[in-house]
Amino acid sequence: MYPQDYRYSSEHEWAKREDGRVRVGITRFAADRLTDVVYVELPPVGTEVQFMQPFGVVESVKAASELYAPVSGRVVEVNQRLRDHPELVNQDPHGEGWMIVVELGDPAELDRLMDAEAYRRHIGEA
Amino acid sequence: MGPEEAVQRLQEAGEELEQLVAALPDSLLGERVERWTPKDVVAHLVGWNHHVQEGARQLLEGRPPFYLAQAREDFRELNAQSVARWGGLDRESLLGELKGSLQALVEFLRGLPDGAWHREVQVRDEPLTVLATVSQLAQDYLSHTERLRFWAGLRGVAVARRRFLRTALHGWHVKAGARMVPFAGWEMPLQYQGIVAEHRAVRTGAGLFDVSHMGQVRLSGPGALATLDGLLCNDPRRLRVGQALYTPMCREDGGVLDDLVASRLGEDRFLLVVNASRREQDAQWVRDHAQGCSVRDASFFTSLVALQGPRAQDLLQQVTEAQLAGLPRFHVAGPVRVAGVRAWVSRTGYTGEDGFEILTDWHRVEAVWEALVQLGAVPCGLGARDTLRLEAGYRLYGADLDESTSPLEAGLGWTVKLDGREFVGAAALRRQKEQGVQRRMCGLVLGGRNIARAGSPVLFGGQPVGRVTSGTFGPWVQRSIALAYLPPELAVPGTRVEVQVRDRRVAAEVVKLPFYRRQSADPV
Repeated sequence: MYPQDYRYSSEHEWAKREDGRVRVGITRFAADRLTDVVYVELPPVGTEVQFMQPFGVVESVKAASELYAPVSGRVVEVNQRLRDHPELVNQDPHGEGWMIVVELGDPAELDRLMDAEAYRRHIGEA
Repeated sequence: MGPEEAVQRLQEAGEELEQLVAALPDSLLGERVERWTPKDVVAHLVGWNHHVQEGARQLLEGRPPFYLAQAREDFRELNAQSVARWGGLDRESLLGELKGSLQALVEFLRGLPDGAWHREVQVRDEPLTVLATVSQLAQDYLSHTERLRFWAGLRGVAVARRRFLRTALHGWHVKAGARMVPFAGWEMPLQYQGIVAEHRAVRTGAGLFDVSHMGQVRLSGPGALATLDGLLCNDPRRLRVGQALYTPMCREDGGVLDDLVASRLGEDRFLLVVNASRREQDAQWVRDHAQGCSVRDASFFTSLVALQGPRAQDLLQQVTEAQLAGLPRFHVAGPVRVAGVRAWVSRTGYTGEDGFEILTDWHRVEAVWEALVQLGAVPCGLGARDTLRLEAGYRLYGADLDESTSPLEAGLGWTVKLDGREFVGAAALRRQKEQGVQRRMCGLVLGGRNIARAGSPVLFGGQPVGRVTSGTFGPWVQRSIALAYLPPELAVPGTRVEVQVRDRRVAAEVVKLPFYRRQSADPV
């Protein structure tokens, strides 16, 4: 359910290291809690995001929720498909529903995130 | 619901009552709530713990319980005996009796073989089982406990509930994997498969909602019509037997106490279906104003499900002999059989689709629910209920309506019948109608997919002019929609405004309500 090679934030974002970059999305748990996602507001490419600072907003039919950057760095890619298909966040939160790719500034930040097992404990599923 | 769950619910209901009564100050213990003191309430339930055990034995022998043996249900004498026997005890001894008798009943029940729970005995043309009897006793506990809790609250003694209230279908929802959330004191399904899928099912097929958390207040007696005529904005004198109407109920100053559907079930019998969050207040308000009729909060003894969507009639017709094609909107038929269960069926709903609401005895609802699900009705949660009602432009009490808003402001003027009537609030509403309202509810469509939420400011020319009270992304209309109060001169379709969504101002336009209107015409 929660990939072993991802790292997880207390705010329910995941971070997947891809060489010097980090792909970011929200967890299955968060997507389920939100209910059906209808809108994802993401920063333009080039934006600098800060560790555990808001970088966007995800809206569902029920609620809006801020997105927190699990690592600091420059946004180099944004998932444009979410504009027309926000439901990907619910359907495949750990894959197709990814949100941004960040150029990793400080790899040590990843160590401050949880591994899959710690995250499952965090959400009470372990 | 199985025997295990029924016994557990009974025990928990007993604990809730015990805890509540233990927390009451001495001064309230002997005070009368209507005809009984809190001690009398406990004493009569001690009696019922004994009666139900005896009744269960009789059921197992194939006989009706002794307390149902007479043709008419009248427990007054039985209850008076219990009150006389235990009502005089001090609190500690009385609660001891309650605990002891409940424990004895539970032990007796736990000793029953599974088959015994389901053995049916015909009582007044209805099959009765030990399971149903036990589940009814648990509801009786809850009903009294909630009544006492409300009454104590009015006297400044707040005792929190230990558990959320649960409908008779709670176990079904959990087993089906529904995500359960607290709502107005109840634990209710928010969604099963997903809000959008459920929303679409209702627009294209048939969706099924458990709305048993809603309150049912019954009035009966020669004064029932006059009592309601004195309370409801809409005119109940227009109701023939078998008809229903939507209406606000107001305070003296015209503020909305609740919005509800009133049905005339008999010449002198009415049913009010009210919001869960307002149940106690409404029942009390009606009691305080009742003349020549009895007022009963039947909420814990009835279940209510809503079958909504273009296929609703097809599906329901397969499990009832009632002629649904001949049942116009806002009409009620009953008692009829639905999936073998005695029920009242009304052509009403809160989704903008054709549909029905089905009222049954509390513990009999599962057969109806199961039958409709088998036929293809899609279980829907409160999430879809909210997005559906918003597309249909229906107001939600607590969000779009409250005691500080008047029905005229809320755009419910069509329900306010002032001519020749003097209901509570009529004078204030008449004045408001003459002088004009300060604000008016209207629909907004936002550009883009940003969603306005309750509380979002609405701006005109850069200045705040009102607030959003409900907003969502309409899964069917595929637009960001909202209800908001605006000054009357701006609450006109075509007006361009902005809505503050977080740090951004989103362009929006005032539109005519509803956001969604179904294509097919109403049945005759």
